[in-house]
Amino acid sequence: MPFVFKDPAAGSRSTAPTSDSPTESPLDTQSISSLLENTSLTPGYKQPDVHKLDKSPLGSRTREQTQEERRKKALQLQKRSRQNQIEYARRLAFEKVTVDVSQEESDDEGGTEAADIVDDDMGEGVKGKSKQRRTKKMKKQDAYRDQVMFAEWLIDMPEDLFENWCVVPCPVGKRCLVISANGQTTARLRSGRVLNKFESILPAGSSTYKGNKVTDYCILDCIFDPVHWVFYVLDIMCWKGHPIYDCDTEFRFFWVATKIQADEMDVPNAGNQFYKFQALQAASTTELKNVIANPYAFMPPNVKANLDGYLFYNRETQYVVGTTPLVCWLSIDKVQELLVDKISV
Amino acid sequence: MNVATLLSNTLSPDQAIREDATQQLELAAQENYSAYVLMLSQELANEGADPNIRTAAGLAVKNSLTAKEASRKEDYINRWLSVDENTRAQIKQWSVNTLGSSNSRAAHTSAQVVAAIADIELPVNQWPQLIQSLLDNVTSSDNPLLRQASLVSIGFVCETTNPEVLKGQANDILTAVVQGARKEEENQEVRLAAVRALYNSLEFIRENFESESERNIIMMVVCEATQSTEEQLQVAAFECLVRIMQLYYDNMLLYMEKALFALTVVGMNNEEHGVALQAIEFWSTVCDEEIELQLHAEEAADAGEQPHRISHGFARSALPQILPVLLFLLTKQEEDEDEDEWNVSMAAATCLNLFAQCVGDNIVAPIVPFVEANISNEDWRYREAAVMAFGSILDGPTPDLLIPLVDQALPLLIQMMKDPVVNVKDTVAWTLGRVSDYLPQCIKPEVHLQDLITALVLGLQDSPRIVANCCWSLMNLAEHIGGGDDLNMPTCPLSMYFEAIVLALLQFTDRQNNEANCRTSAYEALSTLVGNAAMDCLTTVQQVIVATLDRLESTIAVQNQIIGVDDSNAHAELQSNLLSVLTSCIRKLSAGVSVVSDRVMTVLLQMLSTASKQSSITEDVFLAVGSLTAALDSDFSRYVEPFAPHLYSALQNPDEHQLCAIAIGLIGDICRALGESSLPYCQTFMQLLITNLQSPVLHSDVKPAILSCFGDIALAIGAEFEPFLDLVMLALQQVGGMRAEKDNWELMDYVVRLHEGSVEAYVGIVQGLGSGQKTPHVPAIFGFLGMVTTEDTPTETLVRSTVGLIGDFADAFQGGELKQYLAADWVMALIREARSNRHYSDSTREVARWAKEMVKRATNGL
Repeated sequence: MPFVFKDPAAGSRSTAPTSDSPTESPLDTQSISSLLENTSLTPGYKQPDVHKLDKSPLGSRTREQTQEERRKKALQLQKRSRQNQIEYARRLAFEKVTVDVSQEESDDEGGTEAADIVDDDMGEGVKGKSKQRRTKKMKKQDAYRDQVMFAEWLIDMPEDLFENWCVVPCPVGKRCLVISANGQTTARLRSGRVLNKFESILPAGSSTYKGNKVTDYCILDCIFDPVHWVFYVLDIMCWKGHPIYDCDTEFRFFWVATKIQADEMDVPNAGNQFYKFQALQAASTTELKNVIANPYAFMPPNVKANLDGYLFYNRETQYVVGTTPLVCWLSIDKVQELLVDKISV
Repeated sequence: MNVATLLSNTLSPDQAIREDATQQLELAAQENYSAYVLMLSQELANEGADPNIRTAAGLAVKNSLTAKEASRKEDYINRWLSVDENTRAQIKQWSVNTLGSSNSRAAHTSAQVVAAIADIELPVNQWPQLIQSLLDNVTSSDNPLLRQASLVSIGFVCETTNPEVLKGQANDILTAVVQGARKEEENQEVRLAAVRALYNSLEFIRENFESESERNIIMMVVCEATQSTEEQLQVAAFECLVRIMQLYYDNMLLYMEKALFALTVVGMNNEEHGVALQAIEFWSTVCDEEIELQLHAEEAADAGEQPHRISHGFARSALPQILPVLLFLLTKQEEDEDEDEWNVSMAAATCLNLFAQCVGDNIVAPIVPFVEANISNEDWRYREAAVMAFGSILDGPTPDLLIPLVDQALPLLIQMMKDPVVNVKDTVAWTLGRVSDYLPQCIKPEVHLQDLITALVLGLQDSPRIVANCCWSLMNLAEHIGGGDDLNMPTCPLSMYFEAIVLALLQFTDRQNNEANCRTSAYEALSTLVGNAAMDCLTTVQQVIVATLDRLESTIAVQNQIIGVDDSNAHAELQSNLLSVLTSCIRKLSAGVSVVSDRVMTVLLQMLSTASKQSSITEDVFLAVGSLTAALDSDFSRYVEPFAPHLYSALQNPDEHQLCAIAIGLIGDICRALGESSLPYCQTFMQLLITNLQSPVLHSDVKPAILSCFGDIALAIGAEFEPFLDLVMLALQQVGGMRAEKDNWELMDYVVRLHEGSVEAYVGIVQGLGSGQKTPHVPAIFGFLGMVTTEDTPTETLVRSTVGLIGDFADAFQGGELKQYLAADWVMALIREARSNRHYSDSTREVARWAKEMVKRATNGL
């Protein structure tokens, strides 16, 4: 049997009778009006169509229209899952060749928590995601899984590096999501697993917080230095209940710098006995040479942790959860190799 | 029984008599059409007969000549043309003679008959003298009834016959109608018939219209007719102006300045609504044309070209004069506004909306004082007009200009949802819907949201139309400030109110009545809210899914008690609404749906087994099943066995091609969810897909999806796909050879979609089979890729998937086996294009970056 691929224009003509057949029903309004039109005694003069404003845009949708929308939506989701599946396979392959970072760089707790398949360091791509099925416990954490904007490993320097990017020197630590709400503060690893629950100086983050503990919640993207008990604040998604994840990078960094003030967030007080919050600083890439030459000058004063590497943020990007090419991670040992032709270090 | 009695019986109030007579006439027509039609024509021409009988005879003739459906019309044409020439000549003679009948109804009917015959004969050049003889009637007869009927006849001919055919006789037609339409014509009936005929002829007198002197005459005649004292004539003349503006905008500069501008302003103020409506429509048309021309100009500018046509900016220059009139007319609302009844204030609102889109920022400053002055007026007409004016300008001007205004007005508007007059509330609800649709950034969560949502939820207790608009607003809020359709937004500004809104909607929808689509609207809003819920609202979504299942179960329980078309339509619509909500819940809950998944699947299977074959319910059920596969992943496997038969039967029903397409998508869903476990079903899947691909009756639109589905199956079952490989390759090669001739846009688009489907199939096959695949097909595949991507300008989708496929090949053959193919110039050029084209998305550049690495590796022989 041959395969048949007909011109759709020709096809619709030949299938027209079958698709029209339901309208032959005598109860159909269209056929009644055409019946009237054919037999009316004073036909011929029709009112021309005029422009009409639809004052009931949802109420006037026909069932066919909403059905069509549902179809489109389903199709779009199917396309997306197909794409995800295909690209998942490709990413695994990509990691095999391009990443030569050693496996042992994985986080120290990874060994004890074998199920914790997502690591908490800075860039996507160190290890392939294990295909193993997730445990029940893991599924509970799923709501918080992959909530941080995760960088890709920097492979090529973006062409617009000096125009559209900024750079944040990052200390060694664990990437985590810090949520302060209802008088409590929770730090979660990228996998969704709870790292710590504590009281903090953040709005709504302690039982002694003076404002509204329900509405003043905050969500911060941090690097936690477990040795010195410092959360280095990279980014803010929500501050006192105001979501700012949809603002561009520069605004969010401005927000970090103004909200996480030195001498306020890093001093112990009744509500914050142990944990300090310090804002990391973003520098313009035009300063890149100086940053590389003296990274500690661009980090919070008296930072105790060592430099781990640099996050490059595209200035325009909103906060995107999951992995994005608009944030790139450059670990300290790759600096020479990748930056050498961009700046002369 | 003679023909007169039969005909009179076709008009009998008694249904049985009417049907019997109709049947006998049909029989006569079948037995001897020529005698039948001759007999009827004679009756139409019979001055002594009852006018009712004559009319019935004429209509029967007309109905034997015209039909809506193309195939039947074709039959009628052949039947008429096979009547011998003398009989046809006799019938035509009688029909033309009857135009002069002293009975105006007989004359009018015969005008229709003439037009029906002309529609058949003029294109085959069989009645060349018709137009001339009608023209003679108009210009030289002193019988006003004949002149009138002849003009009516010309109008009908112009309306029905293909304009291309009439072009050759444009001069004669124009002479006749202009003659009749002049102000010197004393008989107003004749003049009206002439102006209406002119309206119908406007399309094919382009050549005459291009000539300045002829154009001046036509414009003069039409403008004069707008000044008549006869309302019908004025209306017809304004209708001509509207049509002229549509067809000949480019020629209008002079006439706008000299006359049209002034006389349409006067026309809008005319006390006769018909006249005012058409005068307003004139400006709506001007705006419409100029919006179109602006788009043209922008497109041309993008392409670095000069636009072919330019906007004269009529709307902008007329704004200072037109706007006050429109605002005045906005206050002329009907007390009882019936949405089907068109009135001056609604027409003015429509026109204002178009002005806002056309002139953009320029409309804001002059509107604001009107809104401010009237929004708190004691007279509801002024309040409503103020809100309408405000709502009308939200689409058009730049948001920067509107945001401060909306910010200021929003609290008052929200307050006005409590207005005592329903007309005002209705417009307020519509305006809030527009704010949330066009300017959602104005709605500040901490300032407005609580009051807004309270008002909208309260609005659910109002009249059905208001309910529908409140639901529209809620839906827009969910879409614009909700948590999106991802499953990872921890919270969103709507979260605080989510539960209250959802419960209110659930409560509202628990009713029988769906007046003005209010219940459907509420379900749509519910579905959208669920779809955009943030993660902190999941417990509420769980409540929704349980309530939805309860309701679906009770609709199934009463299924057998539904009788009558209306009831069963209403029942199906309700089920369809509920299924839409169910699908949204499943998508949002994702794996969390497993708690209720048995119940979900039971309901869905029950609905499938009771649904009729062409019911749209099956389609909605399939969509729900699709969402369930994605949510449950491999846990869906236990439902495949009972579900598969429904899938198979949908795949064997090509008449319902939409359903078939969804079924094909579902196969992909199932394969993705089950992976290798889908193998037991794949034999049947493949068989049905191949059969569908070979089907000459299945709608073309479905076929590209079948190709993509091959990829889904191959990806799921990997090496087990080998047995199907040769057959699938055959199909894909056939598609690869397809080309569309230039100008056939529809076919070109179709071929692109087929090619995209092919590449997806190849991707699935290459990724699925991995490096263990058969290689003989590789040259053919590369040949295909090289051809489709270098020949025309390919779509981004095609480029992305092709580049990805190249990477997949490189990945599968790392040892340099494909070096000769991968090193081809076009491969590198395509990857470079995908990496550097600034119009492409990040994901395309991403795939290209990956493919480049893969190719580098596979060609360096690492």
